This record gives sequence, C-alpha cells and structure tokens, in this order.
Amino acid sequence: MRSKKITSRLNLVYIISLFPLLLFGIYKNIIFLSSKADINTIILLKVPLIIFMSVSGAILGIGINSFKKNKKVTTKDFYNGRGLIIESLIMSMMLPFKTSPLIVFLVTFIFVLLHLKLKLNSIAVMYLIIFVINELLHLNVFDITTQFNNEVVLRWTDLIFGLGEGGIASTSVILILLGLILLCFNPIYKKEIAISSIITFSLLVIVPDMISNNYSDIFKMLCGYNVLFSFVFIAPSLKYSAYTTKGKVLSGILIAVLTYFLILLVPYAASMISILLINLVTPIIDRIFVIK
Amino acid sequence: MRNTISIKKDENIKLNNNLKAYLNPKYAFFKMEKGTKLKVKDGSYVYKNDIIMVNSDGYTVHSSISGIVLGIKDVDYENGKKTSLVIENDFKENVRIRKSAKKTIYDYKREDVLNLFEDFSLSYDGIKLVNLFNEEYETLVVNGLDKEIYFGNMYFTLRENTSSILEAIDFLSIAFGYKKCVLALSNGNSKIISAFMDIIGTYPNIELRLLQDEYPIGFNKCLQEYLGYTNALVIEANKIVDIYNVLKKNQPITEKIITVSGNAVEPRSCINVKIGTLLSEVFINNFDFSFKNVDVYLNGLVHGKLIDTLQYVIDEKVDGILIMKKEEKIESECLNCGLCQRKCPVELNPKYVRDHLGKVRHEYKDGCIGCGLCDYICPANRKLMQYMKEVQDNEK
Repeated sequence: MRSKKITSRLNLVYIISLFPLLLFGIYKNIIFLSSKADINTIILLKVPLIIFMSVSGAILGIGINSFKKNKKVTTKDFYNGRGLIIESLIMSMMLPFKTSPLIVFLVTFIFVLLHLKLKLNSIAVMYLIIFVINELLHLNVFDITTQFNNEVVLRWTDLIFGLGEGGIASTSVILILLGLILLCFNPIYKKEIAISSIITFSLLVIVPDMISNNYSDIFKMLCGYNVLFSFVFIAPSLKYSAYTTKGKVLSGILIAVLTYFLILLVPYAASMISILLINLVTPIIDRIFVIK
Repeated sequence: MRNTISIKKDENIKLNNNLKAYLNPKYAFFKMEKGTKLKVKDGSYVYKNDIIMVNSDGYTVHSSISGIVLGIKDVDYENGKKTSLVIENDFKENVRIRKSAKKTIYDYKREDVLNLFEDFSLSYDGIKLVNLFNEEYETLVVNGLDKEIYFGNMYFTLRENTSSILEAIDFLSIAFGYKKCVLALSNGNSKIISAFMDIIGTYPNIELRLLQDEYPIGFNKCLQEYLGYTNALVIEANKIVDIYNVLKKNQPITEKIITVSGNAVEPRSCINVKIGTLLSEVFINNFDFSFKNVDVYLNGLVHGKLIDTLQYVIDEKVDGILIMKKEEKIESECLNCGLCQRKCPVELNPKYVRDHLGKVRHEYKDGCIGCGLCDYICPANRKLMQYMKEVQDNEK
C-alpha cells in the first residue's frame, strides 16, 4: 500500500505558490509601472518565452536523440523532480529578458542531447551559466536600473509587497513568503532548508546593522538579489539537497552564511553559488546525521 | 513518539460481525528449528496438546490436533521455508487426561505462573514469557490495538474475552506487583469501549487509555513511547488471553484468530483456526476468491508482504491475509525527499540502509520494528522495508 500522488501534488503546489508572483508581475508591469515609470510591457512575454524556449530545447534534444535511435531519452536527469515547466517557470522569474531565452534553449538542448546526469541543482547551474555569459558580454542586465520617475515616492509597504525597483523574484517579500507557506503543505517540500536559511540570513543582516545603528542597506540585503526567492524555491530542490532533518537545517544555515559573504562580491549570483557549493557537500552533511 | 500517521481506510472493506471458526484442518504443520528434538515417531499417534518436539532453546511444541504423524516436509512460513513435522488429523480431538487447573486464577502464586509459562513454552515475539515476567517492571501495558489497519484480530479478541482480559491483568498485577496496569484501546470502537467500561469499575488498579486510530501505535515499541512509560512491560491483549487460558484450563495454546479481508475476497471476516493449519486449506473451505488480478498480502497491507501462494503455515507470526484488487506500482528512482527518515517511528534511516546495504549492520541492531511506514510513505514506491529486514537478518 502506498501513499500516492505526492510528487504530482508537489508540482501542483509549486505552480500554485508561484501563481501569486506571476499575477503580481502582470499587475506591477502593466498597471503600476506603466503609469509611473519607463517600462516596456514586452517584458511580460518573458515568462512564456523562457518556458517555450526551454521546452523547445528539450524537445529538439529528445528529437535528435530519437533520430539517432538512442533508447534513453529523458529530461528527468537534468530537472530535479520538479519537471521541466516548473523549473522554467522558476527560472523565468529571475533571469533577464534580453539574453536568457536563447541561452535557456541552448543549455537545455545540450543537456538533453548529451544525457548529462547533473548531480547539482539544475536551476542554479542554468542561472550561473547565464550570469557568466551576461558578465562576459558586459550586458549588466542583473543591475537594478532606475525605472521610476524622480517624483515617485514609495511607502515601505509598497517595498514589502514588491512595488519597488527590480524583478518579481528580488522584490516580492510577502508573496515569496506566501509561496513558502503554500509549499509547506506538501510533505516532501524541504521546508527546513528554506526556513533555516531565511532565519540565518536575516540574523546575519539585521544583527550587525542593529549594532552599528545603520539600517540603510538592510532592506536591499534582505529582499534584493533574489536571495529570498532562491532560499524558498531553489535551495530545497528535491534530488540533490540534504534529506536528513538535521542535515536540511545545517545546509540551510550554511547556504545563508555563504550567501551573506558572497553577496559583497557577486550580489546576484551569491545565493546560487552558495546553493551549488553546499550541494557538493550534501552527502557529507547527511552522513553526519544519518545515524542517531 | 516521533511520528504517527492517519491512514485513510477504504470504507467498503468492512469485516463481518461474526467470528468464524475452522478448527478441523486435514493436516497440521509444526516448524522444526535447528537442533529440534522430535518426541514422536513417524506413524505414531499423538493426542491433542501432546508435546511433539523440543527446540534447542528448550521450547516445547504442542500438537493442536490429534492424529497420525506422517513425517517431515519443507513448507513455507512467514519468515521463509522451514522443515516441518506433519500430522494428519483424525478429527477426534483426543486429549490426554491432565492435572486439572486451579478453581480461579487468583489461587496461583507467582512461581506457579512462571512454571506454567515454562511448561507450555509461552513466548512472545520470540522471547519466553517466563523471562519477560521475571524482569522487574513498574507498569504493565496491555496493547489492545490492531497493528494493521484492516485487521480485526484484536477487536474479536477483546469482544470475546472482555472479562477474562481484565481478570488476567488484575491477577498479574497482584502476582507480579505491578504498580500500574494500563489497557490501551482504540477510541474508534465504541462497542468495545463500553463493554470494558461496564466492568472496569471492579478493577480499580486497571487504567483504561483510549488512543487515536493512528499508525503504527499498534506496535508495542511505539505504544510504549506514545504512552511515555519507560519501565513498562508491553504485551498484546491476545497474549493476555493466552495466559488466562493457560491458567484457567491448564492447557497449551493451540488456536489463534486471523483476519481475512480486502476488496477482492468474500466474506471478509476473522476466523479462529488451529495453529499449524495451512492457509490454503482455510481459504478453500471458507472463502471465495481467485488469484487472478489480485495482490495478496500476508500480515496486512502496510507492514505485510506480498505473496504469490497460500501454501503458508499459520503460526504465531501469521495475523491475517489481505486480498486486494491488483494495483500497478512502479518502483522509480529515489527522489531524495527524506520522508522515510522523517516518518520512521524508531528514527532509523531506510534510505541510508537502501543506499549502503551491507555496511550498516551494527547501527541497525534491534532497530526496525517492521511497521512498513517507510514503504507506505515513499512517493517513489521503493521497497524499503525489505532492505531493513535484510539488514536485520544479516545481523542475526
């Protein structure tokens, strides 16, 4: 006798938890920003375009493999149990519009074509590849650019709800936390990783600022650079994150600590690099806690 | 207690309210462990309750029927194929005249009880009852909960022996000086609860504890942890009934209740059978089902095992059979979700055992209780309990 449909339920919960962010993105870009800032509404096409390119890349890879009569044709090895569309959806919320769709297509295609069994968090890998390419091409697309007219004044509540400058993944604190609450309803979501990393990172940011009585960067550190989004949606990846309860808590703490230090060097890639590095030592972390 | 889960039952699978009986098997089979000494010869006649063999550790085995000894044969048991002594029933139930039992069980002293346990080789989970009762415990916990969600063994045991159970607990608490006696029952069965409530007033030293119908509280180790007693002897209610019958009748235990249920068998009921009967014989004579398109589970759906034959001998370890319509289950790659580790009631790590088979022996000694929660909970349909058992078997 088996407890059924847990993974399909997780996928459904992932979609539901990302849905408020998607809706809010549409509201922010069409209704809110278009009246107050210089924003091109074509950015709304980013989400469907990245999903389309990712699926197309996978289909092309599968097609070529089938043509070569390879028996094992799968995207499963690359996508950590969440499925192609959900991972594309998560990526589309963080990646820049200009170059990402094409790179997502190429990376997915190559991974599927070569049957690459990636024992790493696939979103973090994809994000970092795109980040490096963008950096090499000096596109600077990860920097927050001033979109608002000078006269726009935002209240702190606007910032908390995500109406500030920046992408959905780096600004919408409340909606990301709402997503976390929704995800906690699935028994196989590794909430310990998300919660321990959020708490540790918050303490690391808030305590020194409280001591020095300087709160200028606190909001940007906590809510910016996709940190919160990465902790909730990317770090608790099923396949290659810790699975023991204490291991999950420890890896969450380590991800947060590493992110805190890396954020000074590479702000937008800090959380992804941390996730990947901790990903590498996950088997050791689990082994520490495996025997009671 | 770390984890219990509520398992949703199929409401259509309900047991018949009457306890059936099949007490005249054609043959009875008795397992011969290594070093067993036979006390009977081929072709000799045995009376019911006669000692037919003595195991290497001193356990005596009593015949559950009277008849002719046919010889030795290899047959399947819950824990594998074993050599067995076969007796053909003469359907006469002939019994030798024995010393009669005392008038009431309260006439026995502690030493008398221990001697009777020794004489009739009463055991529990492979441990001699005499050893268990010789240890000093503060509390006696009687487990009145079924291990398996679709089984009714305990329900019928409690229903048919309400006053005997209370009397036996009361007597044991006096004879062995337990400071506290607790009878744990499921709060889901009002009939049983009211039956006990009606007479428990006359036994002030017995406390009734009603527990939620959650899995795997029916397992003794989990129950003890759940109730929070550290120095307690936990024993199942059917064993208390056995003790009562031994004291009351001065006879060995030769019968037991098993459950036959599932959505692919009719009728679904509990049945009283002779120990040593072949399951197939019980089925042919009492139940209607075919092996086509069904999954047959020995000892239940969650912690039992899937079997493809009914040629199993009913011994102490067989509690029942569940026959369910076939369900396609594909075992897939581990998702690394950690649910098996998180839900394990004894805090083991089935995933680790599965991944490191052969390297984890000492850590898992006496660990797994075989509840099957890891199997049940695994979203990838992995057979984790099988590996846990393998580790334990290697350890032995």
